[in-house]
Amino acid sequence: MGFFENLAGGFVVALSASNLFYCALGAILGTAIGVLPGLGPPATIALLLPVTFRMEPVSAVIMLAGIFYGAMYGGSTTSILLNIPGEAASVVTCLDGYKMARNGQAGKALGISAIGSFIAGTLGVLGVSVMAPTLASFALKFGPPEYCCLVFLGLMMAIYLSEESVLKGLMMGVLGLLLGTVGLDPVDGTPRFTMGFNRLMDGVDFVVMAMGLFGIAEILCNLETPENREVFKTALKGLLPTLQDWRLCWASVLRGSILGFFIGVLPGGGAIISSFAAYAVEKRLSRHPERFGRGAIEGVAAPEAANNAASTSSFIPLLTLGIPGNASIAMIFVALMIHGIRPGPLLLQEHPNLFWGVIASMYIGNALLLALNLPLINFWVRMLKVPYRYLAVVVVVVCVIGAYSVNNSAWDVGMMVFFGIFGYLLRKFAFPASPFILAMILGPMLEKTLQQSLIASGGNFMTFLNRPISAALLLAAGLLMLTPLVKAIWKKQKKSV
Amino acid sequence: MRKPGDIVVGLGFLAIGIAFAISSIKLKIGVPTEPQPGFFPFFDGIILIVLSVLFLIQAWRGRGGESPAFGNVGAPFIIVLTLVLYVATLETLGYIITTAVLAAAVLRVMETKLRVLVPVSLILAVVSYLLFDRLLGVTLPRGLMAAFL
Repeated sequence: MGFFENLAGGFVVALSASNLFYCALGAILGTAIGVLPGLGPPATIALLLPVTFRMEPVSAVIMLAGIFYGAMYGGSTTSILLNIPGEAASVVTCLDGYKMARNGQAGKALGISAIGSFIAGTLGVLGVSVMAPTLASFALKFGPPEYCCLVFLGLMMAIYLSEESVLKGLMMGVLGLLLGTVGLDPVDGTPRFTMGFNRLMDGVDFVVMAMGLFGIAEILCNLETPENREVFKTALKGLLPTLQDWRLCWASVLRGSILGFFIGVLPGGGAIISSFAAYAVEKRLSRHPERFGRGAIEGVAAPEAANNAASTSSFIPLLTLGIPGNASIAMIFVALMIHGIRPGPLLLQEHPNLFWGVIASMYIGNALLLALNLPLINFWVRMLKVPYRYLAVVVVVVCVIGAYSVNNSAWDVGMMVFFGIFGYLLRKFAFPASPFILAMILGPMLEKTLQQSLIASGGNFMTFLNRPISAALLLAAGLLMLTPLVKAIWKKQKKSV
Repeated sequence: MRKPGDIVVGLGFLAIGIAFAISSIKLKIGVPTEPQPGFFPFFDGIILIVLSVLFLIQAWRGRGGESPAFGNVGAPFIIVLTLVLYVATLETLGYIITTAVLAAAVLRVMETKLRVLVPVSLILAVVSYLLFDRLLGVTLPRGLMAAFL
């Protein structure tokens, strides 16, 4: 079947009444939590995981994906009007977005970020639909040694690319691997590290853990600081950019989209880094870099395009290799596993409807978001006036119900509270949560492929270096691990000069 | 400047690494040609021990990045305590009573006035019960209220 037939098949799935409904629901929910500070996409997706238990797998992923990319649209609104990022990928939008609002150009800033997001999102989906099938068919050739090295490289990238402190990232990664071994051994079924609790035989429940780690922990952190929100009062008009604005920033949108797309594909890259990178590139390329930080429209357009392209392209490693690259995508991985679907190179062959349906829904979702965002902008602004405490209390109650509903037991609520406290402490000591959760999800695969490779090669560790693909993957991981060392030497030399 | 907080955290990680490594030995490690259940976690445990020691050295010398300062820790502490009590009493007292108390505690630490707090937490508990238990088919514990529900 050709590409267009596949995509057409996807649209048939995505345009069914129920999937269209879930797509719209996800997009709207995503925008809402993107607008509201204090509740990010991974927390929201974790909260909704129990809801997806009874949904069709396609509908579940369509809705959760909508939340993820929808949040990228919403996040800019709060950055521009409040100077507070609605979610982490919109931090850099505050710089020029808020200045534009102060200069009486709030409407223009909101307009360009919505339109830029739409262009980047659509280009991103186009990239996914072209690249993903190719990558998936390539990955079909992978055996256990290749997979083992790929998972290892993915984890290393997630740690080295995204975190300030590599040591803390590594510690969290290994802790995640260890926690992933709790439960029955995947090979011979021996119970491991269950400490006598029968409940731990199946391992630590991802849904319960995620709700604690993201939902409860986020609320606990936000309780520390009193809420302080001031919506910038301004007339919201002139949402559509003028021809002159376009001349200024069409190239920025395009550059942001492309940069975002490629950063998003890398595990650990994702929306946050891509928005910072896009901003830096625009500032460097600009003929008037002094305008940046004072309300330059390119400084809003490029990062907003980049975070949308990146959030879309981060589906590529999930759908083709079965490797989630960030916390939100990890939650979607969990949603698929709950339905007994193993993301990876076989997904395209075994569940073509799911694969193409989700991709088609992203085209639809982006169009919906553009259509919803601008006309409803006043509604989103009004939503910001609802005090945070009401959101907080609803989140806590939804978490409790969600955790209880997994097995109808208070044990899971207890586990959730435990991981909530754990997540709170992690934030307080600046330990990153995403390497932990990625390692926990990928740990069993790493262990299984490592053992299979070793058994097949008669215990020879050289098997990983004797095969070209796995050797290349290992080499990439090795180079990545050397980067902090190179950076340190470079710094020292710079000092001595 | 030594960082006492980081030292405690580092010791915690070290303890976890040691615990996993020792339990893995009990599970049998095996050899590379025939890895036993303890094989993978044993090496993970050893790596965690090494990383924790590096982290402890950094913390002792006062290196490493800054952690965000603790703000008003009273509020999260109260909520954690309430959540623990919630888990302990959920099945005996039932969903509605415990959830109303939990909601009230969250609203209270966020400085909500009493005349708002009481009705909001009661309504939230009852409405969420009706929505999830009756409409969405999640069975929530009835506890003391069983006779009335």
